[in-house]
Amino acid sequence: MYLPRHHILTRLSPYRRHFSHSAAAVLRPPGPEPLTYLDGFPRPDPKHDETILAIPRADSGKNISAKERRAGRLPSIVFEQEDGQHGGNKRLISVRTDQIRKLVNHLGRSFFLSRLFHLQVRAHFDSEDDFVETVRVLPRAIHLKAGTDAPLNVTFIRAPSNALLKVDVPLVFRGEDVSPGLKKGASLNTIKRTVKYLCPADIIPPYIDVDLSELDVGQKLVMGDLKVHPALKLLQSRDEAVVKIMGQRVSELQKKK
Amino acid sequence: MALHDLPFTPMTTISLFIILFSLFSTPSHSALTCASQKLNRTYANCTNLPTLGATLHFTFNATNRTLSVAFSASPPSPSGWVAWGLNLAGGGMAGAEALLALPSTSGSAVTLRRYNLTSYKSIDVVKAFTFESWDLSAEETNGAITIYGTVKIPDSAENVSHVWQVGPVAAGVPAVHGFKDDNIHAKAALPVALAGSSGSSAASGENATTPASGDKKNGAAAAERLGLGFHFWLVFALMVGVVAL
Repeated sequence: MYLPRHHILTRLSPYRRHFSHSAAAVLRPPGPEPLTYLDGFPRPDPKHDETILAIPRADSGKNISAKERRAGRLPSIVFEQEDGQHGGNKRLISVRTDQIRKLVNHLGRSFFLSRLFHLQVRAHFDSEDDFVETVRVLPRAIHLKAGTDAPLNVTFIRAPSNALLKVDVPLVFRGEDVSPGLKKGASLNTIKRTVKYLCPADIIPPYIDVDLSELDVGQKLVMGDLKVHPALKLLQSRDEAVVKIMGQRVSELQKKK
Repeated sequence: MALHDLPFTPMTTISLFIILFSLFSTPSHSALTCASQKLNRTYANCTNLPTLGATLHFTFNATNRTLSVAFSASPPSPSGWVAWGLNLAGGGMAGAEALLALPSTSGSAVTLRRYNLTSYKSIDVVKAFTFESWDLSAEETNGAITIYGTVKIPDSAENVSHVWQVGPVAAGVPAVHGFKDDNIHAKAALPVALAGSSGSSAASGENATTPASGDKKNGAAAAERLGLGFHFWLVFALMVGVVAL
């Protein structure tokens, strides 16, 4: 009578495993670490960290926009990537033309579209303590007049930390003075000036450095060769060329003969 | 003649019934609830606050201790104010730092202000809180004002509570709110998962079992282990307990 019970208990015990907190903790890994700029990569210049001021705008339309421009304001809109295609959570605003023109003139158009700004929507421009909304935004698009480069309208997209934004990142070419190909009299053929990346909102690069110091005649750089943060995802083909060192033209060769 | 009058009688009766039914079924007052509210943004959790018919949508990121909130309440009059704030010391409304939304004097937008509630009836407008806050906005929909914001809860704050209130506006500045029980008890402790790891028994238990792991990982693991149902019931139990005091 005693022996069979002992046998059953002995058989059951190897299959039992005690609960432990460390095992439960391992099953659920913590969330991803916040992304930061890496050393050696370009980061935004603090000199242009500005708060863009805005006021709400009730109406839209061609005549309303013309009146806004005459009053020194720029018709604008701020929207969200989440449900942005359905027009969700969008807000009609007006920004100061002087501020946008100054930023575009100082930064350049492509560089203005590839960095974040703080946007503060106020009831009116001189109310400092009140605000309707204060949010981090990425300029999505800006339209400049053809002849005078006067801004006509600008579009912002909200950039919370969890957003993934498509950004046309501008390229900055360096090392052309020591490039062996350029020293031989070849020419620099700039094929692309911006490259489209899917960027986490916390690490949008202000520009991408392109190193020309080792390029010889006939060599080229493709998009896969660009050095960017590993969290960025290239939205174009890796084999697409951005810059090439072209040889001399046939007519020049014949002239030398 | 008689046959011609007969078809109109049931039609008239049905129309009268529909009119009466519509009159009786029209709700005179609709309080804000999590189920009935539609926001422009998505949040992981929502709770109906115990007083003032307010709601709080929130998402907590345990990795960097950020809390995204959307607080909604109906002001006592169309020109009234609503407010939501944090007290890092865990007390009541005195000592809290609050976001206050009130209609703009010019224009149609609802504007926000930051206030430091230094003492009773004495509040100061400040430009920044002692904790980080960003992505702040306010909007008005169907008579209810919603305050959106994201705050970072400091690691040193182990006992955090939040407060909320509604009140009237006089001459463009917020006036003193009412003093009913609903107004007095508009405060509650934040869930234990949002507090520091030393405030949670599960986290302290984990400290005993794994002494080598860091404090941040314990906090994250404790927060991740709590399910949604337990989270809601914890919030509900804490709020009911505070009201019973």
